[in-house]
Amino acid sequence: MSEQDNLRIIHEAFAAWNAHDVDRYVALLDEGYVEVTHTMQGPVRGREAARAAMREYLRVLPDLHFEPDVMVSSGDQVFTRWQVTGTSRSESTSFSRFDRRLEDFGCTLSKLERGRIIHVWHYWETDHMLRHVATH
Amino acid sequence: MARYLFIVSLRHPTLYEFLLERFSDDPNAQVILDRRRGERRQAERSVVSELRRADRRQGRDVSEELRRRSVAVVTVP
Repeated sequence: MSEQDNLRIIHEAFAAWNAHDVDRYVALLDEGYVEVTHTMQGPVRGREAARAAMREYLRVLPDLHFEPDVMVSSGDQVFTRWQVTGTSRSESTSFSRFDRRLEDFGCTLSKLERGRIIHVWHYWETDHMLRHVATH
Repeated sequence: MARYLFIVSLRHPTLYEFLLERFSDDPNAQVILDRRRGERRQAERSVVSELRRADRRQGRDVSEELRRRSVAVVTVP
């Protein structure tokens, strides 16, 4: 696959996230998919685990939206920098009403093989939004 | 010469270490810490100079970008 092909696949992955279309996203993943978020323990391994993780994000943040502003492809990797917004449906008492509308920044490095995403590593600039997901 | 320069803010060392490792075998990508306001290593001076030239060519203020974000990516023509 060319670097342009890889860019197209990652564009499609973000489009699937923004459409909240779990099946569309999972269809882009390799069977050996591994997803790591640097502040969270344990990777997500496999397509079904990725499906469950995405559903959990969308349950807690039902209007979750990524806005990629930089995307570059080099070799078998694609780097994406993004802004993310969402409104937390968290029921935890540890969050005030002012915590519910959330915004964060971060980036993702994706590795592709044979036209599928096989490894992603997410870096969130703060853990503000992730704390809402992690409490469920 | 790398095609992409990833300039990582000093506030995000974990991101710097990760990108450095992931792009270590990629001749098209170079990852540096933004040391323009701090101590600079001799080996990075040429990269910093190149960055400044790219900055001017692309009409961007990478320093301003790095005040707001963890990483800036500069395409080297």
